[in-house]
Amino acid sequence: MGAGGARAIVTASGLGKLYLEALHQNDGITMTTLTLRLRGLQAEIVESMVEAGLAETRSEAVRIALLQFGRSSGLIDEAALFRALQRAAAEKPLGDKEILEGIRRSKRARVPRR
Amino acid sequence: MRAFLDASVFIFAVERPTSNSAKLVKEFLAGRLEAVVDEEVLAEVGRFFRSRRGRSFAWLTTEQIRRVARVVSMDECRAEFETLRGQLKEGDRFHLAATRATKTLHLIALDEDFERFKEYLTPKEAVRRLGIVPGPSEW
Repeated sequence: MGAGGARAIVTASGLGKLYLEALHQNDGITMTTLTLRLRGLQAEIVESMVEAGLAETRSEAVRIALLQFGRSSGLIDEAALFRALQRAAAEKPLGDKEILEGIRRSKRARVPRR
Repeated sequence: MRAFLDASVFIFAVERPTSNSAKLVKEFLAGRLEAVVDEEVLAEVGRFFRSRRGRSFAWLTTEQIRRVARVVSMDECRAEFETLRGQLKEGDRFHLAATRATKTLHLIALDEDFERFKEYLTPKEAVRRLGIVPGPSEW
């Protein structure tokens, strides 16, 4: 990313929304929209996250980074994050057969190790 | 209690919040159960959630495991891994080798290939041993 920086309009949805729900679970805040202009190192980090495949978009990269900050600063604990992941999964539930088949496939895809 | 947790435990814990696997992960996140995994568990959990729920979901789940569980590398359990040659498929052999190398008494999984090994417990049996009333399913 050059000097122009990166601009990401971040609408909290999906995991970002879940993060905010975990953070504000008692005050009813479930969604926030931010417009961010990032320059320099922050823009480079966001671009690197996308290039590395950690995030599909800059907005998603910002959400993940925010989540990591929540963890490292103690604003959200691991149990709250886990409950958020469970809630996210429950929005699109998988059947038992689909889960079991997915587990079998994830094991079959094992890479031989030397 | 310290236990090796198979990928299926983490997957069912996320996908089935009332399951015995979810009860185990809750105990683990509360610090009442010490969890051991190996690099293959991280890879399997990552592959499952990447294919079913997307890359960021997969990253968040594996990152959480990495942060709170002891992750055993192949280098740490290579001797046990070689000892078990021919007894299990490679991935399962890694799991049991990691369990034994870390002197962990229990390997919690839902995999009949482990049934003849003394370390093996299903999530339901493990929950019972923790003094928690188990749910109806084995997972």
